[in-house]
Amino acid sequence: MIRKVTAMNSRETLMKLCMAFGPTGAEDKVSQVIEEMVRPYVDEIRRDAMGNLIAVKRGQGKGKVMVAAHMDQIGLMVTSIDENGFLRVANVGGIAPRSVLYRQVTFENGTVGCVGLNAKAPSLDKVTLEHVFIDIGCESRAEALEKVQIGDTCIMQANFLDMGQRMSSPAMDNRSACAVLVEALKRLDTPAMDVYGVFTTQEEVGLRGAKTAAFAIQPDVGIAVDITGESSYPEAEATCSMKMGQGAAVKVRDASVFCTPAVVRWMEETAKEEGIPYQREVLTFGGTDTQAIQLTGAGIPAGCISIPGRYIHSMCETIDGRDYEAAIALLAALLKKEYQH
Amino acid sequence: MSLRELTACAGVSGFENEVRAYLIRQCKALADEVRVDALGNVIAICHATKPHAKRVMVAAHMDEVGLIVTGVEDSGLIRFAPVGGIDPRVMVSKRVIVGERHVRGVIGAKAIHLTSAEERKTPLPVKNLYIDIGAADKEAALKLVEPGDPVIFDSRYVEFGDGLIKSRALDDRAGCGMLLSAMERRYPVELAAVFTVQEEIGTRGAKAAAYRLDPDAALVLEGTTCADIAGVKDEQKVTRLGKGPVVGVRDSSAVHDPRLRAFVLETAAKYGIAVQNREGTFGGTDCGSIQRSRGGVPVAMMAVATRFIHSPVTVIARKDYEAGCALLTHVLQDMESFLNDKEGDCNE
Amino acid sequence: MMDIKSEWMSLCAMTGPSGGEEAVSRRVAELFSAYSGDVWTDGMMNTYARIGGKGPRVVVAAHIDEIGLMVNFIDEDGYIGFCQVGGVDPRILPAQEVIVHGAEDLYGIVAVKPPHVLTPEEREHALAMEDLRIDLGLPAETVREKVRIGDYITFDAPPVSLMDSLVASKSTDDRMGIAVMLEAMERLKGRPLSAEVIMAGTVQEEVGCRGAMVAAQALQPELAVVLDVTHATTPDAPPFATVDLDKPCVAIVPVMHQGWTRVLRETARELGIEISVEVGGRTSGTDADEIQIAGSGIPCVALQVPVRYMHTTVEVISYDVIAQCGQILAAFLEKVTSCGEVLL
Repeated sequence: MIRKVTAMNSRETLMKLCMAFGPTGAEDKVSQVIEEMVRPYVDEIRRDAMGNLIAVKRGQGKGKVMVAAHMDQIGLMVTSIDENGFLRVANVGGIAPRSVLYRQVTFENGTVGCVGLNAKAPSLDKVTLEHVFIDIGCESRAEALEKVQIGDTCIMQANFLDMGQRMSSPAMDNRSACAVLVEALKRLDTPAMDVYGVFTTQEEVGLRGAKTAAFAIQPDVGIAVDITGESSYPEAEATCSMKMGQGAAVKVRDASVFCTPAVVRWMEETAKEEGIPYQREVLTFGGTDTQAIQLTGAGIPAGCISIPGRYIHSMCETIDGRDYEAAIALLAALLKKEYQH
Repeated sequence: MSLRELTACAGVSGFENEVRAYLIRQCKALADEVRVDALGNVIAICHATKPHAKRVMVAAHMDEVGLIVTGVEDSGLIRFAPVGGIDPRVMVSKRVIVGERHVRGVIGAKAIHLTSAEERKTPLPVKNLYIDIGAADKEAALKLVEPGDPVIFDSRYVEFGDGLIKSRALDDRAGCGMLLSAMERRYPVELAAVFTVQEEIGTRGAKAAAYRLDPDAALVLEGTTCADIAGVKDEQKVTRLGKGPVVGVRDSSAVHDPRLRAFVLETAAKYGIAVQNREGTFGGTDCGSIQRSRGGVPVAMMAVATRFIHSPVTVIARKDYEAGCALLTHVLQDMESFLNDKEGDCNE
Repeated sequence: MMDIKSEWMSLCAMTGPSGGEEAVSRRVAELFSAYSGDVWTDGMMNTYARIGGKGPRVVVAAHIDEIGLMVNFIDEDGYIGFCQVGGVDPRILPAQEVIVHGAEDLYGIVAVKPPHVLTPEEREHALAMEDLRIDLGLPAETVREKVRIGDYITFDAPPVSLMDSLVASKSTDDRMGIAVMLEAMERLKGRPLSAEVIMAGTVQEEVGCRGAMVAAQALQPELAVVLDVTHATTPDAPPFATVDLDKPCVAIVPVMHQGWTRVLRETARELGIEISVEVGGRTSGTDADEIQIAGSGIPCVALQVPVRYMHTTVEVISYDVIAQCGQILAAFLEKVTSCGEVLL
């Protein structure tokens, strides 16, 4: 097999993924971008009925490991179009109305628009999505329907801000984790276990893609990669111990899962052996694909590598390059090894 | 004698029988004369090593904060009132021991499933709390418990952390322990040891004892407030665990005698015992009752810093307690000079 | 014969917060081994014991996890900030004694300000979980050495016997289910049982019935009996939300199979045991919520023991009722194969 030589480094991978379109339920485009990136490095690529992209790299017969990184992002779905061509929307995934106001949005077909607010809307803290509309520059419903259909989903205008050490994008959740998985797959040589890199769909609405993927793959161990909270910005919750720049986070729990203790130990020991900076993660809210894998069939040991981030589910989701690189290094190191119960 | 034994005895204010019986046994082994007065104070005299000695009263209160049974519902659940100052918020979801028969019970709380988020922001007042001894009904409960029974928290003695001790009632069994340990020796002054009752409901026992003893000077031994915990500003911590015995300046009952206080501090310095001031003026102690007895008595306070005071889980540092014992012994040993100096002052 | 009550009280004293059930799981396996030659534990630490014959497979489930806390952060003075594991009302926490399961088990106290320094406003305000800290009485550097983010914290609240057969303890929810299983297996000893019965001590119920979901997917039984606690009446409880403390209880909620629930109630009636019914219009808040919809669907019934003060450190429960439930369960399991087809 001839490997396509790519000059793309890990940061370019991240940028390219952040710029791709892929709200929950409409992940095709980002899925294609990822497929192109990983094809040279894996033995097999397929998609399942939920749209999960499954990239398989055969190992030395020591069992199966599934790595899940969800590729969907939050967005707004068109629910109705009024006679003057304004679009009314519902959220797809958890969106605070104040974080979408006066933002620019993009649809899959390239249509762009602005998020406006009813002129007589209540004060900002009371605004709900019912007070919000999208203005795509049309004067009538008919004109709007030429560009957009009911049920179309838009994303916050794709963007990638390179601030040096740190980077920001509305799609950092969870393209940063997708990039971690892509980069780890690129570094696989001869893994001990068969590696199933799964870029999952519909995580933001209830871990839906990972569930069917795990059921079909029945791995011996599962690893989710996702973004988590952190607390080093002004007046951040002191009740969160993760800090940006302190390394990859090894999840102990979030609201959806208690990671299998043996998997947590496996991750921590590997990080120590390889000298990869890491921090333990306790998140009192949020859910990850970890749960979907762990509760599959008769139960599957599962853990999660997280990248600490700020302003999650906003236009400016921000991570630190050191944590990103640590997450790649940790995942790559884990995939070289065999998981033993 | 040990703090473990001392804190195992019940002694809610006004119902000190159990701890009193223990103290009488200990005093009989240690003192030259032991008597119990009409209020229930235990007074133990340790003769001086020489005749015509001055009398120094050293008081520690034997009573503790607790609860008292006010009535029994038809359901067999028991209503109660606090005895002494207890924050109702620390009563919830705790084990208790009711009455002299030591009936086990619990103070429960409505299951979280049956509460609203709003409810959980409001503390449960005492009137909504009750003790459950597992009685089927009122009649069954009344076979073991009756209105007027004292209630203590079921909180065992634990040594933990960096030399810390946790138990119920370290306020003021720590003081009782210091006083018993001082009684193992004799001093140039007469030691009139008084284990007082009903301190927690208005320093009542000490008043009668001081009148009877008419001492030349008095020391009060306490377990005192220590708020050196997370979320409390430095200036509100009052005392700190592990920083040595506490020497009082004033409390709400008395401004402590400045010269006696200075003498205690000098003695501590002389013997290399680190002490700390009590940085707060609230809270009453036996000091007031003794100080204003008859023609007035110079009084000072030595105390052991007590975290989570008036809760089921009071905490002291062993080294503070031991240093307190040592300081008390030195003070009594050297006190004659202070009392003579004081007399000189008066004669001038 | 095993002293089931005392074994059960020891089990309540053990620590097994959701996701950290290993020790309890091992002990349950030992207890099961007295009655079954086929005892095993799965990857999530669910523990199973098989008894009976080759008839229809019946799973009896009781969860072995307990509510607790988890280390969330350590402040600069070495005090521990924590979050809940399962539903904990923060009002039960002030002055509570706890064990922090760090590099070693460390005794600690949930710190409270002394009443003398409280302002009237503070007294009127219940402390929120994020404002509470645990004091280990150790220097900050020692705390950081021995305690890590994510370490479990459990309540130091072992059982105490009250009047009659009542016991107050942490974790009666739901270790009582294990006692019911043992009582039932004791009664079934040496008797023919045609149903294939799998007793299951499940994990992570308090955080979403996660262990039971996996157990049901793996075992695919034809019927499930869920053993759990329910709320016993207290003066402050809302009306009709609670049942008598001194009677076993059967749940009538949509999640439960109506036909099998009738069989369960008849079984109790035949034994002359008076029961209460708990009625609800939604899901049950028990492992049945996940078992019912696992695989191709599993009929469920729930046999419940009332407790007062659920999810506190002083849950009050009647051992007599636990034993009666054991009796009902044994008779029900014998009946499963003989009662023919049971319709909704």
